[in-house]
Amino acid sequence: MKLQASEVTSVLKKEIEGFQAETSSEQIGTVLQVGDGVARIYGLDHCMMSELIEFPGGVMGMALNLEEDNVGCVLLGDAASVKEGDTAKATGKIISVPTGDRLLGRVVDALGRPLDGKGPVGTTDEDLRPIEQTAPSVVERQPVCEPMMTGLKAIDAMIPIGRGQRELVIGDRQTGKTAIAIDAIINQKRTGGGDPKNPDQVLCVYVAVGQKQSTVVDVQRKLEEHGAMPYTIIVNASASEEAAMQFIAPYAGTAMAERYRDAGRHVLVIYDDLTKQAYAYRQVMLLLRRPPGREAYPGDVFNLHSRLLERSAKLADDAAKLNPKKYSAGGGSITSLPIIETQEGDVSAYIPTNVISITDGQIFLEANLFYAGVRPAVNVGISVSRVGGAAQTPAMKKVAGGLRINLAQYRELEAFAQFGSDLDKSTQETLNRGARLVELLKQGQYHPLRNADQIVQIFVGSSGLLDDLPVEQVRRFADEFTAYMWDTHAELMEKLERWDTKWSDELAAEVTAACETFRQSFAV
Amino acid sequence: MSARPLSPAARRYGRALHAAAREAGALDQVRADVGLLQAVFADEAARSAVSDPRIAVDRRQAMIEKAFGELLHPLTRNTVRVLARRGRLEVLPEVPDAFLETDDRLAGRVHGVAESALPLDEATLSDLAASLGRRLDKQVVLEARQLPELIGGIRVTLGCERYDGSLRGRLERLERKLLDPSTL
Repeated sequence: MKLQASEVTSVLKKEIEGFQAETSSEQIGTVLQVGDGVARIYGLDHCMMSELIEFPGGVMGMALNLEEDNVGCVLLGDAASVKEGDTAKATGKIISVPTGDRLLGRVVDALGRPLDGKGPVGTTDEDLRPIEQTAPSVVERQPVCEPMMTGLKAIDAMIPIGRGQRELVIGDRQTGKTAIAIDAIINQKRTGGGDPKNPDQVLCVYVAVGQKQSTVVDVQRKLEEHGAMPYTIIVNASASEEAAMQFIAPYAGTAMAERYRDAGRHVLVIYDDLTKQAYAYRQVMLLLRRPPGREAYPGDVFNLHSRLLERSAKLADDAAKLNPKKYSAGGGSITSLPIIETQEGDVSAYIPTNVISITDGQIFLEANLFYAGVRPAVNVGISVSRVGGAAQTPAMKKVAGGLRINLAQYRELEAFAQFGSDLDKSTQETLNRGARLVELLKQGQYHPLRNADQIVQIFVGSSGLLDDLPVEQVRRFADEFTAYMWDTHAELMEKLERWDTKWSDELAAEVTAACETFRQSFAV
Repeated sequence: MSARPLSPAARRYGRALHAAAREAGALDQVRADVGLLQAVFADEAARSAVSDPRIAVDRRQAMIEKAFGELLHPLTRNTVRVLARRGRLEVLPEVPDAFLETDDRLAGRVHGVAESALPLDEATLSDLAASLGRRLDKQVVLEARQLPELIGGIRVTLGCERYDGSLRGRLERLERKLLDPSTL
């Protein structure tokens, strides 16, 4: 920590001006036992739940167990400097983090302290918000109604996400879960040009829990490369940090997002990943001697995730009128993409089933699809979005309507594909179409697409305009065709970019005609 | 405040002894007994002698009876016997503390420590105790202790409540303010 002489002087000046022989009254306790990042303290009779406790040497702790004559707390810093017999002081403050614009573009830890070497964040006491907040009530909410576009064809067409939705991203290790989240963040640049001051800009919070430091550095660099850092906050509680920090990081990230939600802005929060948070929580709770339940998780592990994800919501337009103390403007939202890692595709384990039941749908990623080259490796058969359909743009909804059924039929017949010409004509057609659609839905990483691009690509694929094209040419065709459309039919594309454009027969005819013209000049 | 919590068992026996003494109107005698026991058990050797599980319970009981003999009020002596019969002699050293805790609670009394850089005279100490007593609506009993590292001022600790009017405390608070990242 660097101290600047002028700042020291100003603090001292205030101190001198206000000097009187004041007495402070505080609650104290004695450390009975300390180890493994938890401490038991005797005393602190009036300690509150989640209160910050100060130990000698400035180490902080958080009270989690309030028992008859002792308080169990987790240490949020160097546990080695706390000894038995030390005096612990209750600070009277519930654990809080700084929030606000100064955090944008920064990498901070779970207590909001900077980790990126770019100097102090510079927030004030007014910017502090408790990390645990109650979720908006029923009357303060409204159903999701605006799309939160990820820029990924497979998701925006078939598993649409709305602003205020909680959509789980679930899959084994190395199946591209983080990649989806990062693409979604990068794609938000289109909402407001990447300028956080623009009220239309969707802001992003990426919470890394138990990740490798190298992964987080990688994410930060990629976001910087694509100009996404100015509107993003990264909250990092990496694998090397105390379990307590890992378990509070998602709440801290949400508190930062809530400040914007309550002011009427839209925020996208990624929790990467909640499995590791549950591990950290289990560790802390076992050390605090809470009774273990299924898979040794404490009984409230469901609540751990449900109270976190309930805070993602779309606020009512008149929320500010209903609760002026909490909301300065209505209509804000937090969309969250929690990530869960499964073992060997086992979604019936404890934590995955919990989070599946809390969220409004899930995006399933499969290792065998990933290795077969289908990337993003979304299994569209079992991925769902329970509420996002209402938020999909009408044109996309119309165009993508048949996509899911086409693909389902294709998967059913896929096993027969090896019989080749022995099949009847309609089966062959379904197989042809399906293979092209699967190819069309493949998408490179860090290349999120605009709404209009997705609509025309999916339209030409599902209306059969690509059926005579060799499968391996489909992606190149789609990319070149969209570029061609922007060159020659810019007005139509601009129209499709708008959320309220309805798909009509005239539009379909125009795109079909353009596709046929382009097809003639396309060299296979 | 003692540095360790009393065991729940000691608390129960202490409370029970207090209730029995109250009913028998023998609070003063029992209080004297308890003071004696507390003084004896302040010694580590005495503590371990009554709680050493390697010595048979009846031998330990006999030892206590022999040591205190007729000095103890029958109620206190009975407490020792009940503890022995139930095999819980190891909580005996804590029973006096538990008894006094109950005694203080019922009398609305709080014990505390007043630490100061320079020695406190009797008058200041009783003034301090009286003013704290008025504030808390309790009878405050203060023990004075000299602690030069406070530099100046007084620091009073009552249970888990600490009133810090010392220079050292002020300096520490100032240090915290200066190092707090949120003020920068």
